Amino acid sequence: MNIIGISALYHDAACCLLQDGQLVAAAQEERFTKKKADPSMPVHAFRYCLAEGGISIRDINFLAYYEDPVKKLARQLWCGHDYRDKELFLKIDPKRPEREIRELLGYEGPILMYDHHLSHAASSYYFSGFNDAAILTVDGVGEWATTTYGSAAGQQIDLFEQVEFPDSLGLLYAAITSYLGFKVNDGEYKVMGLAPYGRPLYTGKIRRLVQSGANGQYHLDMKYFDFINGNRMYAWEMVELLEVEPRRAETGILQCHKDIARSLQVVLEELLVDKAKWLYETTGSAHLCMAGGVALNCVANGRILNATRFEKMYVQPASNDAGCALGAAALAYMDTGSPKSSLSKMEHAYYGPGYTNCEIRNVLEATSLAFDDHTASRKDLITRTALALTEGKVIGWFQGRMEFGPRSLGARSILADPRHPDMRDKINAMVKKREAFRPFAPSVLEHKACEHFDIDHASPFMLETCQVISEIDLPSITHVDNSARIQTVNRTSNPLFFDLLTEFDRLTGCPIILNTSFNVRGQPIVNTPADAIICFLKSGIDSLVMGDFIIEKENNSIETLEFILANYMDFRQADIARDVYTFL
Amino acid sequence: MTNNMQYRPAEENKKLAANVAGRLYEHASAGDDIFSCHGQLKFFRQGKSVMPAGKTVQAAEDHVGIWKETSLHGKTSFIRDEKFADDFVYWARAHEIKPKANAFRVVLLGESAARGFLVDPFYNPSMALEKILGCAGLNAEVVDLARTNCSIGQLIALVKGCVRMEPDALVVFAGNNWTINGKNLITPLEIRHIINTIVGGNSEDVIRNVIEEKLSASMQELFRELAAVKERYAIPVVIVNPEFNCMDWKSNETDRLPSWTTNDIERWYALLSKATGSIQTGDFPAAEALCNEMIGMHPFNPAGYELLAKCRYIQGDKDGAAAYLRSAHDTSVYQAAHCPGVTSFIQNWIRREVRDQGFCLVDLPVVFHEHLEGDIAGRTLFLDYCHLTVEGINLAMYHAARALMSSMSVGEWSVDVRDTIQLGPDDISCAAAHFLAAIHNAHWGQGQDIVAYHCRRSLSYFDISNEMMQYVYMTTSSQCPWRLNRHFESLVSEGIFMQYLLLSQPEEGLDTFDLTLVDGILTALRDKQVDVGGEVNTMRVAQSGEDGEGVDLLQSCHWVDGSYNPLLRLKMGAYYKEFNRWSKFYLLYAGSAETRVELVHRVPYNSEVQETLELEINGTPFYSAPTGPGWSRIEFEVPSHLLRYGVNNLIIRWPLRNIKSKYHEPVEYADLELYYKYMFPLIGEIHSLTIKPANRK
Repeated sequence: MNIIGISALYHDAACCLLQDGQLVAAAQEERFTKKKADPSMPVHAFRYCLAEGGISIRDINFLAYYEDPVKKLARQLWCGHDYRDKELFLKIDPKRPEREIRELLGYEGPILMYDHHLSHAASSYYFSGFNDAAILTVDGVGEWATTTYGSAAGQQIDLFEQVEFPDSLGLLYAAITSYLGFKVNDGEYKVMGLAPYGRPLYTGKIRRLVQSGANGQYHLDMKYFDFINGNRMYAWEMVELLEVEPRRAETGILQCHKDIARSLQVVLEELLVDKAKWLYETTGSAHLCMAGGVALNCVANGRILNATRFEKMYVQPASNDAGCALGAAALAYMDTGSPKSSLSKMEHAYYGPGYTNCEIRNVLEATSLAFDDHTASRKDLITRTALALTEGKVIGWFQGRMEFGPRSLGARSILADPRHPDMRDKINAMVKKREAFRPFAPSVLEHKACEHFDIDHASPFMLETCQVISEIDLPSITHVDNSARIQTVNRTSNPLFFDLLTEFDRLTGCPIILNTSFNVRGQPIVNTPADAIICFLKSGIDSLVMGDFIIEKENNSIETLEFILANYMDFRQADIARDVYTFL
Repeated sequence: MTNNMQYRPAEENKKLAANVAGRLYEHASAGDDIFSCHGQLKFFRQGKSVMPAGKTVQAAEDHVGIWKETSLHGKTSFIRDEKFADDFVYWARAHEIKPKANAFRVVLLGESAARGFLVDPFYNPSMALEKILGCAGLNAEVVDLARTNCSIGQLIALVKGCVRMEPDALVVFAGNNWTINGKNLITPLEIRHIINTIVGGNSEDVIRNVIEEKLSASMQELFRELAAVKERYAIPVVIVNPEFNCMDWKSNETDRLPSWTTNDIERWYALLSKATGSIQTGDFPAAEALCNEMIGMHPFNPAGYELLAKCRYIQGDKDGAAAYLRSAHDTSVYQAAHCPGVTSFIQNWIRREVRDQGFCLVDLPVVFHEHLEGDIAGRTLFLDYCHLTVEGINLAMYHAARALMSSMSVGEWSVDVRDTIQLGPDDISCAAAHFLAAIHNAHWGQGQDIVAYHCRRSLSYFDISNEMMQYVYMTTSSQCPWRLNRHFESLVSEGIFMQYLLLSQPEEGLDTFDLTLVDGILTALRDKQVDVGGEVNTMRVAQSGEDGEGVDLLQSCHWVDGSYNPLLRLKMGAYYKEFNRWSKFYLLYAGSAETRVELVHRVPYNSEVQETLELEINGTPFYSAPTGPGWSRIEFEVPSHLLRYGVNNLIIRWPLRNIKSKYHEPVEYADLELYYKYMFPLIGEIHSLTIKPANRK
């Protein structure tokens, strides 16, 4: 049985394929189109999933879509969007998803629609490996729900409470993100990273923006927000409250901005812990499953686990809307009467396209780049890469199948020595070309993680933070509050990356490598070998390790290539307004 | 907590909103009762709002184009502004336009033809004009403000701004970009009007009317500005009326698609075949009758006019042929996207306005006609659709100089046009220009004949073209993107192509083997006793041929040839869409194994009869299969005796008899996407097309 899951037409479009309950392929459309957070119907990701699954359009049994367009339209109409405007109606037409699925994907079979937050919930629970769990989903907004609370046992998911728009923790966070001069649906992660630099001096004021209610409820004081009509996130009243000028993008970050970020994080964590405690009391389950864009706030996730009686937590690696494609597909699979046991726990996130050595070689040989071929000895590849890391080199690492979700987990990664004191500044400035305060995350051998981090379980998806307790000085991955957002790596999920970490450990006594996403600022993570080469050439990466091949920048004269690439616009913007949350 | 009522919509409206949403889902178009609910659902937030952050307004007054006005020691010069660095490639390579000195200052304005596109920066109309004026005894300097891709709006701004450079005369060479089609500036209301007029069966030439009305408004504004400059500064204004490459620029496959209706498509293609056959057998009366019938059925289509032109030309009626070729080109107004090129409407409009305003006219259609002694302007004067060869540039500027001198009444004109022949760049630059023309022609879907011609011309100037051509065919034989390819890197390192770095590459996402371009190169090289066809085939097969894993023929490199066609993107997506009567794919065969094809296909309409599609390899039919409105999967072997090593043409011929487009009803709202759907009915669809060795499943 072949089930396709689709999320689209909002932001972070994605497609996945379940074959007899097994997740076979999943990818985000942005990686193919080079438009960050591309919301378009994922025609390329769809073609990829069919090819990876070895099936044709005729072999799809069901297509599951991740939200109910009629309910969503109701919310949009309630906000006052003028549905008489023909141009606007093309966007919000509740028949648009089905129409585009038929016309753009060419799919002829049955389409099943599932609620947005149910899709989030399913994306987490059904891939958690748990037989029962409490479920917490938190995001900007789906149809009406912004937060849902549920319980699951066996095949059944029951969402028994929800918070409705406009009361939304995701939109609260987005509003402050916008206030601090970052792009919404993109900059929230930066605000989270900025928070440890600040002091909680604005918590009192932030608490006036949102107040906890009974059970799972909370309410935003809409006096301070202006996002209902979709033109802006915050109102003048918020400026009056905070008494800090809203920061303009690309300008200096002041201490007050850091303090606001910190205060927001404090309040968010307070609320989430409070609601998670209620959820535990209500469900009694030892397991917590989380999803939704706010679940990418790994700092809050760590707090929830520490501050509640939940024993285990599972956060869907693609917690944003891309992951809803998985959830919708899983729900469709369950609706066929299949047993939950046939849905496997998601042990890794490597479900995107991969490239053979032959394909990589074909591209490399077509370029003028000198490269070394290690197909005869993978061991040499590993040793050489680990050595390069110890020499302070920044490595572009392109191996195996691409990750699904926003994090790079050792398939499309930029790697570096975490012990190097200047590495963070070097990568921020020269490679990623991004804000200097942004921290980097470590990957660590799973069996040695507890020696260096205050964690007692595997954390393969970089979705929780913990304190650094290592005796090794790790300035490049230790955030200002001594925390790190770690990825634990075992041999089963990523043997090559595991080998690299092992070798690095052997050479240095440090089983940890700095791991950041293989992309430059504003652009999606690389997908193809050509993408990787272009990013390598346009950034300060020293070496590119792609398949069994190594390309060293110092061995190549790349001025002409740099000139050609500088004169070629190959990254495009999706039509998403980044000053305000997309409600249409 | 504040009373939120004025800050959020009324809770009780949720039920109404849900009700309206449900009804909008159920009904295709909402009635008045649903619309009236909007009054209750309207929401305006009370309270204060944050003012949007002010945007810096670019002070346009201190710039002319990319040059910023700078005063030093009381003198005004214009310096190229680094803020517009991305734009530099479209303009003259002049860092500074110095303060006016003693020379007679002519400002040249215009588009890419005025830029000398493909010959520039080594030679261009401003250089030619300056030299010719010098030959005429005038101490002249020409300030070159021509811009490639200059729109009429930008031209108007330049007219207004250039007076700050204190010109003694203006020469304006523009009109090729004065088009409004498809993606340029048709509003949703206009699109709706066009669609509803056509589907309503109204005989009004609505597309032409809408577009020409819009164009007229812009052209009137331009000529008003020119008249104001002429009057205020008492300077002569010379207008160079552009010409189009009528003889050697042909419509491409997309231009020739029958559009807007699915009626009698099969008959129209049958007429096309018969007319072509009649011309070949010399039965011109029959051919002309068939062509006129084609035009009657599809007046928006150039094919009938082009065949009529051929009939006339073969019979020696060059003026008649030229008229038909202009009519063919004039159908570009109906195309959703088209290369630049002045139409008869614009040429006639310019003539009228120049006469009324008292400007000087250099009427290139007349100039070229006389120069060629009645023949039709083609490849000797044009590098592509509208850009001129060195000879064309010299001829145009000769007449511009003459018109200018005549307007100033400075005495007898003594320069002979034949004296201009020696003006021009060196041989390397000429070689580069023609080779770039070959690439540009190929990328715009022109035929192998003209591509090979320009390759031969390139080689005739300079043998280094051999090396440039090698770089190109080696680049195209690889699936590596051009911008990473080492052969393209070598080509760029030569330095000659720097100006055209972007333009010489296929469009992003439309990887191509560039078969027509490479065939043109190979043909030209064979004339020089250099036969690398085998080498090219080997490279292609090695890079992209069937290697045991199966090849997806829906990758663009297997069906795209001329890639500068925005409509190609309509074909692409999760599956392949065809608007033509056939689909052609390039199948690379290594010669070693039996080959199986898997095809998943459908036609986008319900037919009362069983439809069949036909498959051919290299012109030989070998398979047919039923097709219908649902996806069907077929798998079959390709007879190896029909295959040759290297590139093979796999053609799928779609049934034409009973096509029905679902886009035939009037609309309430239309955007460009819908416009294309009405304009180009879908003929067939392919969801997968894969080639595998016969022994693999």
